[in-house]
Amino acid sequence: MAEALIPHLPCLLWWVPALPLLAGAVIAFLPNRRGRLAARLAIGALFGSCLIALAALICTLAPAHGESFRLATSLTWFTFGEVALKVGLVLDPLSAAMAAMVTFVAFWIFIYSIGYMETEARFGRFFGFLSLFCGAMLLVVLSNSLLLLFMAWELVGLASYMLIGFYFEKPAAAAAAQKAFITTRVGDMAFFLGMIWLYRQSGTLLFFDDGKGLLESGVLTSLAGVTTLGGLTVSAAAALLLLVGAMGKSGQVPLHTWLPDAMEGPTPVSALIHAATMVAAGVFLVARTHPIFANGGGVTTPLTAAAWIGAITALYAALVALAQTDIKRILAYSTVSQLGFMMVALGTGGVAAAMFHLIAHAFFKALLFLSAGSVIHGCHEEQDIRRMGGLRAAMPKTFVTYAVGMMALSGFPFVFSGFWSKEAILHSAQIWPGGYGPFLLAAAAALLTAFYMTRQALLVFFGAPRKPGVSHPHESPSVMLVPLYVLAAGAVLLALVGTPAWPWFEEWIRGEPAHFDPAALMQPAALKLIGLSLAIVTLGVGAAWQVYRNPSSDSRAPDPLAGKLGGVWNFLERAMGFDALYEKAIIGPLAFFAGAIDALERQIFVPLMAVGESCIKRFGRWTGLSDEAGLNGGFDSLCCGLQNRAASASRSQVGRAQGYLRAIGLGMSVLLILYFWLSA
Amino acid sequence: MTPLALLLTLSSLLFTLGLLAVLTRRNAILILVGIELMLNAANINFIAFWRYGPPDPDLTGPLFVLFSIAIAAAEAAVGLAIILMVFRHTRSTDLNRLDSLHG
Amino acid sequence: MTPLLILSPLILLAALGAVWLARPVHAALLLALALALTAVFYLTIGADFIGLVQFMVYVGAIAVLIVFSLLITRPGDEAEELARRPRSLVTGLACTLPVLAVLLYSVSRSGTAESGAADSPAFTLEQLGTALFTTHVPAVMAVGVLLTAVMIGAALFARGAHASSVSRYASCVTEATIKPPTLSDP
Repeated sequence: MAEALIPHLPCLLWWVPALPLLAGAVIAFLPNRRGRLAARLAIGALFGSCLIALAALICTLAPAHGESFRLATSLTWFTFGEVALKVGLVLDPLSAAMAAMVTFVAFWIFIYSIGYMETEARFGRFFGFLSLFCGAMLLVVLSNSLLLLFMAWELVGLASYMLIGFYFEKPAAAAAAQKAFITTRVGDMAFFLGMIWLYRQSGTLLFFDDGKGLLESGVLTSLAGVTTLGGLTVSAAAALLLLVGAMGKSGQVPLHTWLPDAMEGPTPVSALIHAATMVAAGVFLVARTHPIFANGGGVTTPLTAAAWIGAITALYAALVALAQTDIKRILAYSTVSQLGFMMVALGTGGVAAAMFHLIAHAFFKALLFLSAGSVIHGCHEEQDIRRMGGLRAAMPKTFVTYAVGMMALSGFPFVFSGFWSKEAILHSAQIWPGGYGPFLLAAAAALLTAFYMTRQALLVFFGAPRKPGVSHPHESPSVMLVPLYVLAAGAVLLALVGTPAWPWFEEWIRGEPAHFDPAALMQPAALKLIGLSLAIVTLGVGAAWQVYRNPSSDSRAPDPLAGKLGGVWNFLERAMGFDALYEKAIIGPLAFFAGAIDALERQIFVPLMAVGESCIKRFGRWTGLSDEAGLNGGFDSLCCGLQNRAASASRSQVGRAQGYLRAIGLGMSVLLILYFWLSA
Repeated sequence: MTPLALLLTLSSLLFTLGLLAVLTRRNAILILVGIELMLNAANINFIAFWRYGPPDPDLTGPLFVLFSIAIAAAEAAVGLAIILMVFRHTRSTDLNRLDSLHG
Repeated sequence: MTPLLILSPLILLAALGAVWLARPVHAALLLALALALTAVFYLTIGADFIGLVQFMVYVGAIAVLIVFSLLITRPGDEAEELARRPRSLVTGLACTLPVLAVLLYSVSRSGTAESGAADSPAFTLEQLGTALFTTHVPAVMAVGVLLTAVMIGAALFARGAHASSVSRYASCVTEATIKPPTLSDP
C-alpha cells in the first residue's frame, strides 16, 4: 500500500500545510456569528492533514537502500536572470514524525478548544488563527528550503502574536504579545543573516537537491573549506547564527523572557503553541540543519554552544519554576527547561534523543496544560496555586490525566515516555567528548523538575481546599476530557518505542533497521544510567513530598521553602531578574530615545508647523485683502467712477432742443472752418 | 457786386437770421418762423443760381424750389399740429418746458 | 439789378423784424411780409410760376397757419421774453456768427463773377409740367404721399386721441386718397 502511495506523495504532501491554511483563509471571511462553522472547518481541515501525514509516515517506514527514506520535491518559485529561487517539501523520518505529531496533537487540542472557548465571543476567529498557525507550522517541518522554512517561521511567529494577544483588551496580554514578537525577532534577525550567508557561500537554499543541497556532502565540504572571522568556518558561523534564531523561538536563555508572559493567551494556545509545537520549531531547526552544525566532525563550536546554552537554560528555568505560584507559569518555565534538555541533546550529538524527547514532551506538556486549563475552568478562572487545594476529590478525572502528565515530565520510571527520553538525553550528554558540564547541569535540572512538579501537584490537588470560592469546583465536560485521555495514552504508549531494549524511534530517525534487544537494558552503562535517573526522580519527589506534604490551609501563608532559602527565594521568584535587567538595559534607553524624539517633535516640529501654518494663513488673508481692495476695489471704483462721470456727463443732456441746436450749429461751423482751413 | 453775389449774400444773411430765431426764440411757433426763413433762404439760393449761374435747360432750380415749397408746407402743417397737441397737454408753447427727455 | 437792390434790404429788414420783435403776432406778420417780398422778387427775376406758388403756399397757407396757431395758443408774456433776451441773444449770436462767417467766406471764394445775364431763361408752364411728370414722377408721387400723410396726421392730431375711431377713420381716408395714378393725355 505504501508503495502505491509513494508516486503521489510529491503532490499530496503539499496538502498537509495547505488544508489548514485554506481553512484559515476561509474562516477569515466568515462573520463572527458563524463560530461553529469555523470550528468545523478548522477541525475538518486538520483531520485531513492528519490523515495525509500519517499516510506519509507509513511511507517512510520502509527504508530504501539501507538509508532512511527521503523524498524531496522542489519547484522554481521565481528567477532573476539565470538564478532560480527554488522551494519545496521534503519527506523523511524527521519531518514525517514532526508532521504527524503536530497534526495529531493539534487535532485534539482543537477538540478541547470547542469546550474551553465555548463562551468566547470571537470563537470563530480563534479557530482561524489556530488554523493559520497549524498550516504555517506544518510548512516549517515539511520544508525542503531554508527560505520557505524562514517564511513559515515568521508566519508561525505572527500566529503566535495574534493568539497571545487574543484577549487584546487586557493590557497585559497586548504587552505580552508584543514582547514575544520582538524577542523572537532578535533571533529571527540572526536566522536571516545565517541564511543569507549560507546562500551566498553555497548558492542554494534547498536542503536536499540531488546532491547539490545544503545538507548534502558536496556543499557541506565546500562550506567547511572557507574560514571567516575568529577562525570559524562558514558553516560554523552560519550555524551559530541559526542557533541564535532557534534560541529566540525555543526560549533559550537569554531570549526566554517572552515565554512565561505568553501565558496571557488562552490555555489551548499555551498548550499547542508554547508547549508542543512552536517552541519546538527552534529545536527542529537545529535538528534539521544538524549536518551544518556538525560540519567538520567531532565537537564543533556550534554544537558546543548549543549544549552549554541548553544546559544553562535547563537549570535556570528549573530553579525559577520552584518559586512560581501561577499554575501556568510553572508549566511555562518547565517548558523552557525541557527545551534546554533538547538543546543539550542536540549539542551532544543525540539528535534522535532530542527528537524523541520533543515528541514525548509535546504529548505530556500539552496534556499538562490542558489539565491545568481544566483546573482553571473548574475553579472559575483561578490561576494561583496558593488558592487551590484538595481538588483531587472534586475533579478526579482531571487529576488522573494531570498525574499522568506530571509523572511523565518528572521522569517516573519505566512506564512513562518521559523517563526514557530523559535517560536518552543524559546518556548522550554523558558520553559527549566535549566535557562533563552539560551532563551535570542537566542531571541537576532533572532533579529540580521532579521537585517542582511534585510541589505543584501537592499544592493543587492535595490537602484541604484553601480558597472559599473554590469550594464548588466542577469537573470538565467530556469534550474537554476526551482529548486529555488520548494525550495521556500517547504519553504512555510512546515509552514503548523509546527504550534501549527496542529503540525503534531512534533507529527510524537515523535510518537504521530496528532491532529488538532486551539485553541492551542489562548493559552496565545502561544500568548505571537507569539507576541515576531513578535516584534523581526519587530524590526530587521525596524532597518535595517532605516539604509540601501538609500545606497550610491559609492561602496567604508564605511558601515553606521561602523560609529556608530566604533572599534566594525572592531572587528565584523574580526569574533571577532577567526582566528587570532587560527593562533597564534595553527598554529603558529605547524608551528614553523615543521620549526624546517625541519631545523633539512636540516642542520643535509642531510649533514650527504652527508657525508655518500661521504664516500661510496670514499670507492667505493678505492676498485675500489685496484681492478685495486691489482687484475688487479697483474694479468697483473704476465702475463707480465711470458711473459718476457718466452721470455728470448725462447732466449735459438738458432736454432742451434749443441747446442741442446751438451745439449743432457751433459744431458744424467749427467743422466747416476746419475744412476750409485744411483745404486752403 | 454781381447780382449772384448779392443774392448769395442775401440768402446767407437770411439763413443766419432764421438760425438766430431758432436758437434764441422761446415760443415754439416763432421757432417755426425761423425754420421757414431758413428754407426760404435756400430757395433764393436755388433761384439765384438758376437765373444768374451757368445755363441749365433742365430747370433744376425751379423744380427743386417747387418741391422745397411743398415740403415746407407739409412740415409747417405737421409741426404746428404737434405744437398744438403739446399746447393742449402743457398749456404752454414754451420750448424750454419740454425737457423731460433729459439726462 | 435795380429791383434786387431795392428788394434785398427790404427782405432783410422784414426778416430781422420777424426775428427781433417780441410780440409773436407781429413777428409772424413780418414773416409774411418777408415771404411776400421774396415772391415779388421771384416774379421780377422771371420765375413767374415759382413766385406765384410762393405767394399761394408760403404767404397764403403757411403764414396764415402760423398766425392762426398763434391766435389759438395766445402767448402773452413778452416781458419774460424781453427779460431773457440779452443772455439768450449773446449765446445765439455766439453760435450763429460763425455760421455766417463760414457762409460769407464760401460765398466770397466761389466764382460769382459770372454774368448778370440779361436775358432771363424763362420757361413755359408746359415745360415745367413735362419735366415734372416725366423725369421727376417718383418725386411727385412721393410728395403726394407725404402731403397725404401730413393731412391725415394733422387731422388726427386735431381730433384728439380716440384710438379705435382714429384708426378706422385713418384707414377710410387712406383707401379713398391713395390710388394708382393715371397719366392723362396732354
